[in-house]
Amino acid sequence: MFKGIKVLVCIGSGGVGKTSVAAALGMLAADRGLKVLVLTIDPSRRLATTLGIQGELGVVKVPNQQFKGELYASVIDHQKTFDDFLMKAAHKKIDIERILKNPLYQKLSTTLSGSQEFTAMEKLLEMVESEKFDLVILDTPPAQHAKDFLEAPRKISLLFNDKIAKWFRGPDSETTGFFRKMMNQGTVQIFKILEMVTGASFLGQLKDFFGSIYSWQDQLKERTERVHDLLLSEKTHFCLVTSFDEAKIKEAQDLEHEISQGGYHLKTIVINRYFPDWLKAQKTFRSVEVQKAHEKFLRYYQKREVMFNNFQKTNAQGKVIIKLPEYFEQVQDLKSLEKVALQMSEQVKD
Amino acid sequence: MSQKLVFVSGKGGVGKSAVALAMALQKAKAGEKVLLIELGTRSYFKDFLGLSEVGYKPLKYQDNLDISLHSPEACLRDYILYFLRSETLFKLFFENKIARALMDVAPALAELSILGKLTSLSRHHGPAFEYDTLVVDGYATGHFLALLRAPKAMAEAIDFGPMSEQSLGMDRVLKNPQICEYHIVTLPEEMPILETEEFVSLLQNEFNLKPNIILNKLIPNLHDESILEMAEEGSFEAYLREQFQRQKIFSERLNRLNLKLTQLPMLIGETPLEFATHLQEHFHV
Repeated sequence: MFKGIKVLVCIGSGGVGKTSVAAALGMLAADRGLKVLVLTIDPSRRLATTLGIQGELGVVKVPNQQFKGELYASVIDHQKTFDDFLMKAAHKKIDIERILKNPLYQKLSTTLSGSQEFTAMEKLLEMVESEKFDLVILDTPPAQHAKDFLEAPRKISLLFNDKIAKWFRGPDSETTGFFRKMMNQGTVQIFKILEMVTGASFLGQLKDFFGSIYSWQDQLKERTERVHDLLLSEKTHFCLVTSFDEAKIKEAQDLEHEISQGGYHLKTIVINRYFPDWLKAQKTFRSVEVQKAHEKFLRYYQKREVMFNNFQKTNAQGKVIIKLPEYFEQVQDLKSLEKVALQMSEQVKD
Repeated sequence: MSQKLVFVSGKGGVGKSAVALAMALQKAKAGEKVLLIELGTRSYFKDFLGLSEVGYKPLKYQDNLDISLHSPEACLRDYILYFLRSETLFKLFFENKIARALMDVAPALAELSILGKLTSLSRHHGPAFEYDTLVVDGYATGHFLALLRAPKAMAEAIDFGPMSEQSLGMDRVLKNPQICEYHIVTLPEEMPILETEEFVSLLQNEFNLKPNIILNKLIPNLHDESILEMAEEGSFEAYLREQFQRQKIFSERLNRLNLKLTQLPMLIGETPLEFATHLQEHFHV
């Protein structure tokens, strides 16, 4: 599963246990002798504590480990990644200061729609290019549509596209009137509407913003293209995480379709909360009540199994499927993560 | 005309949508004109209820109950068209690559478009769907929080202009207990319970809101649970015993929050609609 790849991207809708799966995959890879980094976006406090990254910036070696290889983890610091990117990309120091002072930048970098995804990808690229790790596993924000995540960097880079910047870099210093001299009626109307929708102040600050970034737009574009190439590379595999639930499986079907259409390499599907250990065929029960309850549970899971088998036929051809059964405990501490990793290990070669 | 907004949120996978539907069914039965709203770009109820399509335009589902999918784009289009009153101009705007690029990244525009639409009747601003009650199958907790925070954030980032003024109005509506009701759905499991406790704390401290808690998918207690005491490890009985213990502990934790707590049973082997209909009994209007 890990042979010949440099990046593993875990995608899936919300509530399927994606982050825990990413961490467990990290353990599996580390156990097989690799030097692995797990990049998380929003881990629960317990998981973060287990991985040693609670309240920590930067990359941390996961504590209490005994693997053949090494396991590292990190929470992506959104603001810092954005600032670092800026520092690298800007040519002149004065540009950086101007940008950092721009009140819009401070808000934009964390609230721009898609900026979280952008920094996740930027961090991924940085870690891969550092060549410090054999494998980087990226946990992604939950998505209804994979393209929300995958296209975010392109959307951000479009913003810095020269055409848009030109729109704002007029000869005038007024925020609302500067382009009226040069542009046509249609554009004026569009601008008016934008103003109504986003506010004149936003547009004015954006103008100033574009003035500052002019010198490093090409850097941003190049970076975005590199991320895009990395995601499509043969050495980058996607892992779809879903759970044994009607709605989640439907969402997984859509996601799988989207990813395949995009040309990305989806090789593994992890299905969480599969048929539980404790629901085996049982002959004797301690009471009729218990027997009835058992029957109900059995029917419930059997129905889902039928659904899952359909999913397997239509969307999972040629992919490795890992089934993780339901456990009594919640997967948050090292012991339970190891249990999951062991389960995966039994189903995955190399 | 006044309107009530009922928000249903909770961690992903806890049964938000079924609960929202159950509440909507109950209110419709009680005579309220209800619009059940799901947020996002993909309809869940379409599959859940076996409907051919669920879009922005409210679809009649039953007497007094319509369903709509509110995507940020649909809400924004509705709003802009309402004020522009010109299809041509509107098209000019929406088909302009630059305008789209900017809207794609404008901070919180997606959240504000949705909230703007949901609160428009209460604020007497913009096109509104006229119903007595809007039951909103909200986003999962993280995203839902971002939604609630958007108006204040926008008002702070952009200090004047229409969007800013409207944002303050939205914030006021969201914090008005006469208009808005919040329900958090959770499960008797560690992660959802912990997240609920954190979410409640945030809602109380940041927004001064008192949500209602719904503990979902409880295994109904047996008449005689003593028989489970001697159960073998790994057996179904052992699982039941552990679950009952857990349910008790988690229930106690939720009770300590001092909020209205509703407990819902796990309903197995039913179609989604049977399921929502059964749950309906637990929600008294």
